Amino acid sequence: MANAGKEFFLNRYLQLGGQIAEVTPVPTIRINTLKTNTKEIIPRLEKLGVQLERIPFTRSGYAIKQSKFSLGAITEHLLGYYYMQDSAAQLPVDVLDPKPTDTVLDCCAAPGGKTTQLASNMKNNGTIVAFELKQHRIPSLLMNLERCGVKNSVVFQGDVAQAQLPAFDKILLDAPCAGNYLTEPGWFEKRDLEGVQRSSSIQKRLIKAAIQALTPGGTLVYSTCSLEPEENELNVQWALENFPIRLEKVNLPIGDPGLTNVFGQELHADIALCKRFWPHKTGTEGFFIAKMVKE
Amino acid sequence: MNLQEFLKPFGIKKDIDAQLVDRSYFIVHDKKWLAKRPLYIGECVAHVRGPVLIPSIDLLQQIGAEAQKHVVLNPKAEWLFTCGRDVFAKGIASHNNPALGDRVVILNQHKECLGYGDVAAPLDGKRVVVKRLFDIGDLLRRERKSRKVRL
Repeated sequence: MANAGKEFFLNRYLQLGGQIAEVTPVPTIRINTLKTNTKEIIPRLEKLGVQLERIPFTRSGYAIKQSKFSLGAITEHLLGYYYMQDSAAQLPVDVLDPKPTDTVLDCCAAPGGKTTQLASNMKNNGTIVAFELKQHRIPSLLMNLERCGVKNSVVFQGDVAQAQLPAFDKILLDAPCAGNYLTEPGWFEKRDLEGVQRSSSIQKRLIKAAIQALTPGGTLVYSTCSLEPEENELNVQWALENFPIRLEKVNLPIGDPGLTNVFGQELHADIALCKRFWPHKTGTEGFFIAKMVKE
Repeated sequence: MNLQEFLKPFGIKKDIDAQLVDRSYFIVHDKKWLAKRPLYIGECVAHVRGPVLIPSIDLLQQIGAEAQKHVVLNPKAEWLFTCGRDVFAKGIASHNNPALGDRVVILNQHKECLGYGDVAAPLDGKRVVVKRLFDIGDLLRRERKSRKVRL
């Protein structure tokens, strides 16, 4: 097919400035500060033979440099002391910066990595209203909330775009997306441009709903784990053209500025305030973060 | 079974003001959301599973701290127990003399509660001495089961 396959996508990335190089993803964890702290859990894991290295651009992320066993099945994990979460995926919540007094909407919550992180940053105070559309993803979400000791959340199954919601000051939209080649074996063979465009349509619907649910002056953090501009910069451009929003700088010491020229199409200059994570540059999975404020 | 009945065999008398939501008990701090039929709200306490209750991870830790009888496992037995196995005498590092038939909490060497069971034989015996009723590995097995159902 002309619009699918490894060559097609690599050629697109090349046009966007991403000369893809081999990257070996390093598994990472986030310490759950609702249940423990780094002074307690890091020495404990090291005693078990796990070698960890602090990820400097995250609040409480550690890379697993060496371990003889899976960290997903030991007591410390079951008791919720940490969450297995890619380092880039730990960033949108920090960009949203929820406070213990906030009421936050988490639009697409499963499996709960960011919901548990929101609760952790909010110190289990305030309220998180979490939605998940897909029934089969609900058990993992509920399990992770319970495991991590989350006490300030209310979870609904359903389409957040159809829900009758009050207004929120802060909204996290970590949108369902086509994903990226680093985290899914055979990704290049499974994806095509039509699939990316389908994802983009779903994302636009969710962005619209999220902006509508935002109070004036409120903040929406939009993120995907996709490298495709249709799911990232082009969606942000669409939002700027259709809704009363402005972009704020995603203040992180890692990642490239959002693209302002996509396949010859000039985009709004402020899209450079977003962050794009090319895996070969950041060592993370592919990722994109935008911070929108409603006028 | 209600929460008081569930706690009784551990020697714990406690009133927990929890509300049944879907098939789980929660301590609900903000009741205005209840009318919208959430799946999870506030502090998870326990789940209804057939005729019995199973505790949340947080309630299990409270039970572990307050139960009258306990057994502490060595690290190898801890791993086996969280995989759903019963407790053998050789896996026990210490205990506070539970009697045959007592409900005991199972602790690791950090005094974290891994689950509970019933004493099925004298603890200095050679075979299974505590019959497992619940362990924290249930959390993972619950999730895996839901994935299988999906497939």
